[in-house]
Amino acid sequence: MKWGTLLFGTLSLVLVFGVASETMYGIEHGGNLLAYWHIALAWVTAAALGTTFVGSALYLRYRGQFWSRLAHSAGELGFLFATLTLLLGSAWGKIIWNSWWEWTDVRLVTFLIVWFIYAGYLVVSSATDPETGDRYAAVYGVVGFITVPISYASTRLWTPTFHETTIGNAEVSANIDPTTLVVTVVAASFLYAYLLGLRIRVHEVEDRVRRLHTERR
Amino acid sequence: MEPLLLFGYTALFVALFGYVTYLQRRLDRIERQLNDAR
Repeated sequence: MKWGTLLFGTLSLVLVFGVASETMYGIEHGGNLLAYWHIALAWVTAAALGTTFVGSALYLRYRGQFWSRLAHSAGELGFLFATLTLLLGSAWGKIIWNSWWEWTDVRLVTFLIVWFIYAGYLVVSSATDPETGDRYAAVYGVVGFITVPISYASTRLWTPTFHETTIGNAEVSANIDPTTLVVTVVAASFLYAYLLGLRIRVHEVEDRVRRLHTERR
Repeated sequence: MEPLLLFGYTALFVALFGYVTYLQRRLDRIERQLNDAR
């Protein structure tokens, strides 16, 4: 995973800075190149928060510690990716919309709600006792996930103002190079898988240390 | 390079490398704790 991340990450940067066009929506600006990682991060945010939902549901069903670790690790990563998505999107928005933030854009507002929901998920996970708190966090992880598909489908559910529907929209006006985007999404996915494995490993070792200390008391 | 582009990708790298470094250091520390506890 680490080598996949490095390989595709390097390839993505080569394509973003060497091949992709700097003109999007009719505006020529170097900052448009932020779009590639903004979109890729938005997709891995969805993957991470989806993993939290699946891990939480399976924990509630089977009670295995692995599911709880998976859900929390993916939730933490999802929150990090969502923060970066907002940050890069805001900088890109300044170029194409001449505004850092637009409260009238349904995608922006619903994505901000997702960000707050998962900030709350991390607070619930860390503020409760590890033995019993996993259950509360799992319920939160299942219920809170409803905001994710709503945010991703928001441009179809309501009239979009700035974000346009891209998938399945033949009239999409963003001039995004498909090869660069696919390579960047693959790089972000490798990065997500690598970080997820590392975060789960941290949870496992922490649990073993905690168990050893409990047994010795 | 455009300042916004520089800001965006710098923020991305700092956050991701910072998080990876934080996780690896934390893992090293608790693995040492585990070995000591054994």
